[in-house]
Amino acid sequence: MAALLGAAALVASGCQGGAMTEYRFSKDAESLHSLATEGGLLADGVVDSRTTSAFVLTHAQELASDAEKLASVVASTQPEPGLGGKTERLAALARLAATQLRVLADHPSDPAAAAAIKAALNDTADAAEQLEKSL
Amino acid sequence: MTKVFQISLGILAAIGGFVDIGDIVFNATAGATFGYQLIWAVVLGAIGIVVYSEMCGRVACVAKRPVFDVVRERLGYKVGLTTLCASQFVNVMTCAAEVGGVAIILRHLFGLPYRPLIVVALLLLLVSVWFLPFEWIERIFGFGGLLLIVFAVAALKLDPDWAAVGHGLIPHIDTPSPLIWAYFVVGILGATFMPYEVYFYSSGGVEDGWVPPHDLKLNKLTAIVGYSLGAVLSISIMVVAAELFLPAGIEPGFLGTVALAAQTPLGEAGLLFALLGMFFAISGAAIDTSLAGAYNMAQFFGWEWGKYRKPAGAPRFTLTWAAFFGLAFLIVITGVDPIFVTELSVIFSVVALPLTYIPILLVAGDSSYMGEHANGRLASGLGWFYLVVIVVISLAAVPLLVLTNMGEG
Repeated sequence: MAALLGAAALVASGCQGGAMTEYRFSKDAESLHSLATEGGLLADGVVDSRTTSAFVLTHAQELASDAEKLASVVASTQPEPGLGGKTERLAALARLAATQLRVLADHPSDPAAAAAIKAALNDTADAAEQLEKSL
Repeated sequence: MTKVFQISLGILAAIGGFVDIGDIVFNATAGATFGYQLIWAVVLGAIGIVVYSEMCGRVACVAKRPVFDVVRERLGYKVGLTTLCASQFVNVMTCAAEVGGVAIILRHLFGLPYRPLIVVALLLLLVSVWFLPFEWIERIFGFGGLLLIVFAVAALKLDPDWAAVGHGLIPHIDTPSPLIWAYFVVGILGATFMPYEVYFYSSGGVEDGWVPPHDLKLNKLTAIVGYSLGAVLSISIMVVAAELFLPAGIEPGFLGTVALAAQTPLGEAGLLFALLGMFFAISGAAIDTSLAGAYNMAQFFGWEWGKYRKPAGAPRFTLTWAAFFGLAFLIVITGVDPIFVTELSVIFSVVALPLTYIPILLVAGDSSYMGEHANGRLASGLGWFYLVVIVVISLAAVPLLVLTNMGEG
């Protein structure tokens, strides 16, 4: 049981801070791409009135919270040589996605606002994908 | 109609193994990561849990011995106590995750803050278990959980490549990350064999007053239909995630993400069915775990137990299930992520897995207990095969957890 608890603690401690390697950069960029794409899908439901405002409000908040955490984790890393600029850009994109998702949470039943946010989130997702491919 | 109601025990027990909070997200992640590649693992697990649930239901029916009674007798006090401690740890962790899950679903339905909704979830669960008779708990939460069939409808609407879905029934590895693939296989099988399902199922058989020979057929039907439905729901979530999330590069990390998978093809009705189905399934799993914890304690220490008794007729049993909800509340109110808790509890259950299933197999095959109803060749062969599977899962779980960083690579 002690070994299990130790293993769990090791995993739970996660990857806060530490070095930003190419592998980790790629994983974080994938996570950002995922969050932004999902946000776009959520906004799409508002555009077509195929969802509920309670769900959009709460799920957009969850996604925004995750994007904020990602931004904080990425910003706290020490990038390996050649990754400094890209890491800063990734952290900035994660902060941008968080802001966009917060705006969606503030307008959970406004199709016009949702259409604009959807486009913005899709752009953020594309930018995260480009960053990942740039390695 | 009576027959349909009678199998509700199997449905409610199956919900814990296939569509509780952790399984819902884990299955969606499996589909979003590996497409249809892991469908075979769900089917393999479903057959295994049918085999063992039928066995422990048969033991409960014939010998009137639920699982923990058998565990203590076959393993002795010390090993039995170890099994009890490991099982109770997993039960309380899982119960905490489920209580948090109910609050998350209420939040998605009503848009209210999370922490007050944990209190609402706790009260709903306490009131349900206190006031509802066992058979109505089975029916309401078992059949309510079947609203998740909306994912099967969503899967049909998305019209997947059925040949590829069929290919998923055959074990194969088509990924550059075989360790992560193995982690997901172990996670799916581990969740399917979560020990509290058989504790709940066998004690439920006693609660429902099963008697041989008539109820032996009912036991078989309940196990087969209940767990098969659970497997269908599980596979449906996997298929929908494979269709929607894999091509888009979305990694499902929330219950809301999975609900979104029903909304995308089916609109608002799909979303509401998915959220309500999750509400009943996760509430049912919370009740499974709290009652399983109380059954275990009562059977191990020889207390009066059973929901068929009034609370005053089994006071320590009643206090124990209420305490499980209380402990779960204290854990989840700290703000810990319920999905993280449930995924960890699946891994921790590896300690209890073999120690739970070995005594069931030994007693179900012992003709001095079971007489003419002891395991035949088929049940015995399948039982030993799945025991090997369970031991392999137990040995592989922790190394894979560490090596793959909980499947995240």
